[in-house]
Amino acid sequence: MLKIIIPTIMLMPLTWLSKKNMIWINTTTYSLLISLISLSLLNQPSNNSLNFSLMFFSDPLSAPLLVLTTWLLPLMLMASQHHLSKEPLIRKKLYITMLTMLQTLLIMTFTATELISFYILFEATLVPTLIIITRWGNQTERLNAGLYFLFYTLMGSLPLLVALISIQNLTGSLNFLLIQYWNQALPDSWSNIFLWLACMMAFMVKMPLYGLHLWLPKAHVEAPIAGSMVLAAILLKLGGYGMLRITTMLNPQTSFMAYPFLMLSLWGMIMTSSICLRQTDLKSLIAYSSVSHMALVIVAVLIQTPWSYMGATALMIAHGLTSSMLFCLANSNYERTHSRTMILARGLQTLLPLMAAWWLLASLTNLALPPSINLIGELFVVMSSFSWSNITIILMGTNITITALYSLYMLITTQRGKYTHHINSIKPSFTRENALMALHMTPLLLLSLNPKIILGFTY
Amino acid sequence: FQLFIGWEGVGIMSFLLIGWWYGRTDANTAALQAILYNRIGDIGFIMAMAWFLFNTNTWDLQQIFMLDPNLTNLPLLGLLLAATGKSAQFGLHPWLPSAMEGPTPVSALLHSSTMVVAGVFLLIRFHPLMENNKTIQSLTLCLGAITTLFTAICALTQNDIKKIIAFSTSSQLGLMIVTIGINQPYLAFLHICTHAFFKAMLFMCSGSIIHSLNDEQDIRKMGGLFNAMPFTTTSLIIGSLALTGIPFLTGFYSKDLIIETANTSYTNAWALLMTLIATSLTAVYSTRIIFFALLGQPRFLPLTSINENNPCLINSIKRLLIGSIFAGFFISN
Repeated sequence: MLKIIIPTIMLMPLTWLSKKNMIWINTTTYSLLISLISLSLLNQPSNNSLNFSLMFFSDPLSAPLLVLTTWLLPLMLMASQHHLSKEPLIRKKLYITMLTMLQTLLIMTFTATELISFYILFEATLVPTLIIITRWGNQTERLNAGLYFLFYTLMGSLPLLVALISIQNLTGSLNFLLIQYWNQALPDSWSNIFLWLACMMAFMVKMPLYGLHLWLPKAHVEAPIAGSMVLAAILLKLGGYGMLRITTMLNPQTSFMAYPFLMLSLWGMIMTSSICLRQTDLKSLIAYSSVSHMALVIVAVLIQTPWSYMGATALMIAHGLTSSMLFCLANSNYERTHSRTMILARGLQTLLPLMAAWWLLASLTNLALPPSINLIGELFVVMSSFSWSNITIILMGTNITITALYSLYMLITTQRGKYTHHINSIKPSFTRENALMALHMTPLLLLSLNPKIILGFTY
Repeated sequence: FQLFIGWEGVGIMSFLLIGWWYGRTDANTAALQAILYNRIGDIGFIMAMAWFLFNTNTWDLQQIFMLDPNLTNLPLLGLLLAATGKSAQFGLHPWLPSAMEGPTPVSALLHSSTMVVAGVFLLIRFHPLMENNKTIQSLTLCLGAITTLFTAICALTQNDIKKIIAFSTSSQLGLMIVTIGINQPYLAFLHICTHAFFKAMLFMCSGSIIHSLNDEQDIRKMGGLFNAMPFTTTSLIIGSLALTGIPFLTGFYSKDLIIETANTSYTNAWALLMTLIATSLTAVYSTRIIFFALLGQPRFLPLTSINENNPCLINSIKRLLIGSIFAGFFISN
């Protein structure tokens, strides 16, 4: 694991010491190389986790998420090049340093062995993200967004600290490997109910759960492109990952404690999808679509069947790639019209047909077209929720329909129809942008051929 | 699972192709409408898949048929919903007339012969399960009967030539569903094959007419094409005759057999009556097309360049024409 962490830390001195015209090239190239190293982790020979040290390990659940994280850093760097082009050199380097710091903390979080270290790193990822959103965001609302983001997450995760410390006292260790063997059933008592709640709330806020999702649209909309990408793709998955890890300890209470959250997720899924249909702001639409997909993941994790875990992990990876791509596309619109309103940049298919092709692919994967991994994730989740209760299929089905509708609505509004008369002064697509989209789409398409890797540890 | 991939795939292709002329707002809304109704049907499909997974532990058709589960109401209902969405049956039908915003070859391929029969095809594939379930059979029968009558009546009042043919497609699809409902999946399949020929040809002819009249689609503004476009006229008349099931053209072999079987089987009398009325209405609206478009005095502008010289068009219509006349004979013998 140090093979990945130390190079990522070393990216920081790389940016500060590079020459002015080489910073982007250096950082992007080296981060791509680091992501190649992380691919080797995907080769998991046995059912147990690959143990590398006392502090870091990787197993079939965290390996895909790790690869996603390392894959996204070069993409984030490529995406940020335009809006930082007019900043002074020091600020560019500072931005890249923030991204790299975030990346290091994320890698360490996904590979942490001990739950307390996971918690510390989980909280620590908030800091660079906050700095990125509030310093380099584009509108004045970014301060409010940062506030919401920070305090929602903190409020949710402080009880987690208390819970982890108490579990440490009770069972003597919080090491993942050991917990597998020490697993005792939690007896049913009031304090244990609060323990369950304390453990779960942090991740529910992070996911986010429908009632606690207010921070997400603000944060996504106000963040600069790299911030949105990393938020949508990775930080939300931290919540899912944490939930998947912690629920192994929390049985059997989950069977009845999960009901209110399941109901909230099922209903919230439909609600947020419907809100998407009425959005005028493009990034806000993608943000709400993220909430909707994550609600599916919450449902999957709370049902706790092998199929649902497979669906949850597949959906997390798929959604990470798709949402990140959609944010990049929205950003390409934003850079041209300097506004996020959808109808200001319509009829793009006539002018930028290749970009229209990427829009089409992104929308199709967003609505979970077979055989993409988005579909596999959603399908598994729908199947397992059908087995949990037959009636959920109605809600899931409604969600699938509405998802299809808003994805295509977004596509039609931005691409089709007659273009506006003020649009003839936009710049054509850059190679960098096309490369960015291709790099998002290629893993998605390749994974559709062999989704075994991302199906998690219950395959 | 593979069926589902193809199923969704055609839905998306339909979306893309209907919205081919994407500068046109109507086309875009029609495409979105198509996806909406298709998706609602897909919920049924997914529900059936989920049920099969948990009760027969497989998505493999052969294994499902071997296991022969009881109480198949729920999945068959799901599959029926899927077919309703995809094949534009009564509850989920409006997308098919709106889909006429697409170019004519698109309509000829997707919305007459291949894609819309996907729903019927699904039901045919699952017919071993449907044989045992009387409720679902009656439901299919009534659904098909309502569809065929309703859309046939709608076709009578339309003035756009493509919409008339679209409603006629919907009506024929209802007929296919009726055939499945009386437990004759093979006949339904035969009707799919034969119907493909003459419906595609009708669409291509109408496309030829529309193109030569400079994008005029309203039949009240056509007329007198009988002498101006002889080849198109011939194929249109033969196509309409085949559609109505005139003896010894293609439609006869499938359509007449369906009507005979429906008459002689122990089935819902009301559904049967509606099917018979709808079949007679087929003749009515086909004649209406012929009357308005071909006969009488020309009602279009005098300076249009009517030509049938395009060999691509003529060759394709020629082949479909031969198919319309002979295919029924060859398939059933």
